[in-house]
Amino acid sequence: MNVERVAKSSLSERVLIALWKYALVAVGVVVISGIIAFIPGAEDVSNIAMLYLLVVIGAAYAFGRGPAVLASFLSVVCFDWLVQKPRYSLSVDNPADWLELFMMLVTAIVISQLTTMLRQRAEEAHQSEREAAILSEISWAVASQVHHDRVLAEVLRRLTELVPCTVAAIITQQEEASPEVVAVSGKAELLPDFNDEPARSLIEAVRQEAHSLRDSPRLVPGTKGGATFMPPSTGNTYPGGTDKSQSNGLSAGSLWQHEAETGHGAVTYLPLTMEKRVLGVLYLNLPEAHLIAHAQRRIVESLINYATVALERQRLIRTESQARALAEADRLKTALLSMVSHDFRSPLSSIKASVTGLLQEGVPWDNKTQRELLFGIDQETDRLNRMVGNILALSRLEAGDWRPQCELVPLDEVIGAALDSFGPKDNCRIHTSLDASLVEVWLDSVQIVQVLHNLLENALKYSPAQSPVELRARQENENLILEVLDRGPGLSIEEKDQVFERFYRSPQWRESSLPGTGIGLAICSGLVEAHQGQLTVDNREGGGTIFQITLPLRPTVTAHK
Amino acid sequence: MNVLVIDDEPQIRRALRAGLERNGYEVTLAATGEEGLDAASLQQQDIVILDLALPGMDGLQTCQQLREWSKVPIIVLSVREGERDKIAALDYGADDYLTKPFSIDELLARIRAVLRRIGNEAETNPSTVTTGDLRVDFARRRVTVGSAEIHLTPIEYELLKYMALHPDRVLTHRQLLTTVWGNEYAEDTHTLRVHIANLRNKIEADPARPRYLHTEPRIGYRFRVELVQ
Repeated sequence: MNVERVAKSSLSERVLIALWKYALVAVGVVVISGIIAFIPGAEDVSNIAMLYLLVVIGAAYAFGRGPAVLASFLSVVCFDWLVQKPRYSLSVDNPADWLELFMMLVTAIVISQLTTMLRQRAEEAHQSEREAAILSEISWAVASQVHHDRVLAEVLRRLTELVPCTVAAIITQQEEASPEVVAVSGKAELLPDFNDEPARSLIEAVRQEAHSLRDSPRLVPGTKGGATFMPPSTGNTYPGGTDKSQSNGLSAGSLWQHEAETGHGAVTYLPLTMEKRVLGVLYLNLPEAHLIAHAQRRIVESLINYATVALERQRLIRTESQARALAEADRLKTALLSMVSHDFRSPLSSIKASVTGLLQEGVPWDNKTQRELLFGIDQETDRLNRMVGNILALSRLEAGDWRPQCELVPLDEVIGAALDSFGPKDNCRIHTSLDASLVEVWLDSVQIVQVLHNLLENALKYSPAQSPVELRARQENENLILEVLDRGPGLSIEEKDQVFERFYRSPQWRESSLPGTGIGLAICSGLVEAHQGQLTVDNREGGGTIFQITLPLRPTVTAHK
Repeated sequence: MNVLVIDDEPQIRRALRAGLERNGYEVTLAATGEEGLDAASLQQQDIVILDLALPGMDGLQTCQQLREWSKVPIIVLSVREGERDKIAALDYGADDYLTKPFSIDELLARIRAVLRRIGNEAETNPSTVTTGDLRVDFARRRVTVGSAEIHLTPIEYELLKYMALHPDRVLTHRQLLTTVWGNEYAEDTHTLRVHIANLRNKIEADPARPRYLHTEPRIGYRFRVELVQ
């Protein structure tokens, strides 16, 4: 029987329907009697009484126990009147006929009972099949990686199908933040504004109240044949409806149910709790106070539990991603600290040793040594300055502040600027080859010069002194390809993935005197990506590495000038 | 005096060479641990300045290998905050350490102190050690501050004796614990702290500002000898 329909129909309607059923049954018995009366000799057919049993079975199957019993009695009376001798009289001649009538009545009633039972069983089986289907669907959604919002929406959709509520919603609230409706089903326009009184303080009160609960409330049988929500901790049955007799109106049960703000029915605020943590609040607007059919208790509870599990999973995912972000930040901090402590100290040590040497009193320094020391100090301050620059660049990379200011520039100018940043000794090692067809390119020259500088610097630094470093530029499809090739030691497969990570330095260089902070390539890759390009690395045939920059000649976003 | 500098930073090597040569030392430079070991075996060195952060064979290994066949004094340099490397180097037999960045004067002072100590240690087992008011008489097991005799427990006396016999030298917790107490006490720094505190109460005029028993935080202690001017 559809609970929704029952719940929605008024009492008088229900009585009318029942009356109709009984009337139909009576008509059925009369029809059978008519058939027997009008077919000549029918009354002599042995077991003609079986015909009446058809009505009984039909009534039991279609209308249930009451109409079937009525059918049984009516059938016996009609049979007596119509078939039993003397006919057309209710009196019975033969005492043995009493036995026949009695047997007929008993058979009819037993059959009606059995049929009703069968009918109920079939309905129950059907019901549990549906429940199982719903639960397996929901549990699949909860267990799989389906987004929690969809899980919650699905749970609510099923809940509104089962429970006669006009609107159901799940509200979550992060600490101190305002309540947020994460899922809703039914007439959303009926939802109160949870950021406003009194709904907001109700949610707050429910959360407060539910703090001591281990699990979400369970359903207990209430009045009027339905079930009502109860906290698992309190054993007393909470009387249906809104109980105003509670001293301050703050007892668990009374808080959760309120007269609807508008119209008839009642509103339930149900805490969704797991392990003493209130994860959310289920809002139910029931047109008729807490009429949840007893048979649906289990599935409603399960649905609520699934909603709780989905919320808990969401919470765990959130916690995990927060933890990961913290760990990442911590890793960066550690890397930065070790960089400051190790990489910054080396040039500082050289400077300090040189300066304190120069400051020593006594014998005057010869000009050559003095110049040598000063030259060293100069170089080391440049090195420190580059490190500081890199750290600042890294912080911009972190902040995502990398929008390139592209313009049409001659490629040879860009490459020339990158080469200019190296001394004559290094420049001798760099060989360039440019595709003649490439005249002007669309890019942020400052940033690409920095990228080329970093790549060339690495190539010079990590390959044997005197070995050549090549810089090539060519056009491929709609892309500009810039390559920096060296004859260094190359990279292992794992390193190929790691070189672009911040603070990564190859183990073989980590403790070496070759200055490096492990952020140059991270900056390169950030800049190239900001140009919608790609920076890749590969090992070169015959030893060494190739860093390849692929830049679209006309980036889509920055194409407008 | 021959000084061997093992450091991978060319600028530091250059600065150290200039600073040391100007103060009358003969300087040999090495960029790696291997080069350093070669240089030490080719030429008699009076002192080795060794950077702990070296590519390839690190400073600790170099220190360990050098100690296997040489008693040359070693001063280790470290840019690291971690005391672990310094302690390990000292345990391996390094004589002193210096944290980068340092001034040339600091380095020169350390070199002089180490060399002086080596010179003193050459005179085998002095019968007494005197510094400031403190006098430790090993022959008679007597400790006096000024004219007052100080009564020490046997373990306190052993501790003071060991430290006084290695003046101006960083002695790690482990070195003190294993020599005075025994190998099984190597990690028991708390015991050491308690005894050092007791010793200071007995021999120092102001235990909070020790004159003789100097603390090297996280590493160990140093028995300071005041130079007689």
